[in-house]
Amino acid sequence: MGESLTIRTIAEAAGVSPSAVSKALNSRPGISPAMRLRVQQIAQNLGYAPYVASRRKGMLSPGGCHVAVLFGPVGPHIVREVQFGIDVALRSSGFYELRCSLMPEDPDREEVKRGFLRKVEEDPAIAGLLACCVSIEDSVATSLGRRRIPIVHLDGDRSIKRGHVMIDHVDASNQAATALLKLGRRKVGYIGPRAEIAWVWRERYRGVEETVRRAKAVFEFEEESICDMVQAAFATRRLMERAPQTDALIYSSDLQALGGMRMLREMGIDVPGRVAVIGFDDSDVCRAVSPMVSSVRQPFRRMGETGTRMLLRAIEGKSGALKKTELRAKLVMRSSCLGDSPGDRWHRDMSREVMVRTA
Amino acid sequence: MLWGPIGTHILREVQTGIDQALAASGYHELRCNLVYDADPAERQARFLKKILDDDSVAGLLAAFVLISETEMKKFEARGKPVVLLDCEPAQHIRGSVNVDHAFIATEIVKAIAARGRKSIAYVGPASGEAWVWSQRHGSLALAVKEEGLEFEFEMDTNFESVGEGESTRRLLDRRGDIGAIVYASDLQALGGMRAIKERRRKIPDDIIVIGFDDSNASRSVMPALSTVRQPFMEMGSAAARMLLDVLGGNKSALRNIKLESKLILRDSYGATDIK
Repeated sequence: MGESLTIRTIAEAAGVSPSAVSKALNSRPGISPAMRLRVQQIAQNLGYAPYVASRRKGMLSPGGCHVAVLFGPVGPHIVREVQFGIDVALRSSGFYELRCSLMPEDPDREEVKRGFLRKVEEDPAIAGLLACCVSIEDSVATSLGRRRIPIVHLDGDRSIKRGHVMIDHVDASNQAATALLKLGRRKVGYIGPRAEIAWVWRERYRGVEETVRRAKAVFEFEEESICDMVQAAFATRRLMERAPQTDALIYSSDLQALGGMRMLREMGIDVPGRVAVIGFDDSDVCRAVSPMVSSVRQPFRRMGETGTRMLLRAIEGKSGALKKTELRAKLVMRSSCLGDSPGDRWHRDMSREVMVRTA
Repeated sequence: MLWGPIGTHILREVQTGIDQALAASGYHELRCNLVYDADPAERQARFLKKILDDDSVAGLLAAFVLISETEMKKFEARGKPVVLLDCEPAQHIRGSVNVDHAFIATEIVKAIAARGRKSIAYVGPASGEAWVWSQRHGSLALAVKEEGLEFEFEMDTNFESVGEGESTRRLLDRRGDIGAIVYASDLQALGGMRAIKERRRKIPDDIIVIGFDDSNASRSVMPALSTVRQPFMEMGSAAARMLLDVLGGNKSALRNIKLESKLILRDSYGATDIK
């Protein structure tokens, strides 16, 4: 390893022109897929690593081909989705992921994070950093910047303007609350973590509260911080005993909504007749229960994929690659909201993804 | 860390176990996931070659893939330990953590037989799909035969979402008298339970239903779904710890471990004590 490769060397080995090699390696049009594949394979056999190529024009060298990925202490269902998006984007890139995931229950996770970032700073094989739901200290960002190693944040601090793919959480919960108000519900409860815990919860809470209050409807809140099915059931009972007129409930996750719906059933409260229910995440369980749970589908997979592609473009040296992209969540209305009143039918017509109500 | 094609719900469990074990170790995961790959074999070979040559890589964890003995020998020669997670075992290999598929198959069949059922169906991916699926299918078929019951199989590769229950309808068309159905995943079972209800068959009186994974969904349906809790998180942490032990100098740490799954019986089996 170590000696440099040029486009000309690859062209000679492949028996094609240098411009064809350039097209093949830089994913530009103008050559057949078969030739693209063949050139890429020959280049790889010769030890070609893509990121160095763009750094020193025309010169290629093996070595640096790792993308560092740091996950903040978020729920495993979110990590799973984002990771999948990253896996898909890296699949045919020639890059591999060097991964570190901070565990929510690990008391030493700040130390783990520092250790990983130290490695990222020192390791010559690292070509870029993806920071998912975690903040990166200015000193680290500066030192990576000096080495021209790009960073892309996934759902990072709102103030980050370059290299950032995020989900608009205020809009997501606003969509949920607006849908309930349009169905004629006037007393909306939110069950989820306290607003102070993390900005995603803060924004989700804010989106519901603002929308409900703006419509001069009643807003109720019951805390359930650990996103647990059983705890959410108890929180539901507390809320319904305290404010029995509540006619709609938004839960910060589907799992909580399931627990809540189970409790409502035990309390003899009909869903959606008396209380309409919306969860978050649009997980598979939403369609497994009856009535099916309406839910806010968050584009975590797309966030992982979009962010990784942005990072790869930045690594290739494309100017202006590091942008700020905001992704929108999508509300999926199902039978936990939609009964058979005319207002519901209107909403069903407006929504493309309503599932058939089960008997 | 090489990931073979496997459902993301399983990957997530194993991943959490590995993450926990690696957290304080100073080692990090260098990752290649072969899921949805057009040519997984080619990509696997490229990745293995890369990590074999890369001095910063200390060892290999490989889950749900097949690593040839030749490849294993290359790693041995370079002094890089390998631990396989639920992989098809090549001969004479040390360093593996597997799920004991035969054990849980026997548990399931015994429980169903205890309710006087004469026939058991398995709905799931076909044997050829991956090692884990062929093990589950094969050991269930064997356990059913050993118990002297009839075995039916209906192929359904969609185990990652609640389907329409098509496979269950096909099965019921063919074997309306089936006494129990085991599904490859809880989500698949939920779709199946719908199809069973549509056909006006009672769960569990007519048909016992058992899923796999012990997901949250299994507890939130009516009747509550009986299921299998598989030790995937334990598998991840045990494998990672084994590798770390070897890297720490304990040469005898490489062993072949089998982990047992747990059968959880709920209303869909007729267990009234657990809801």
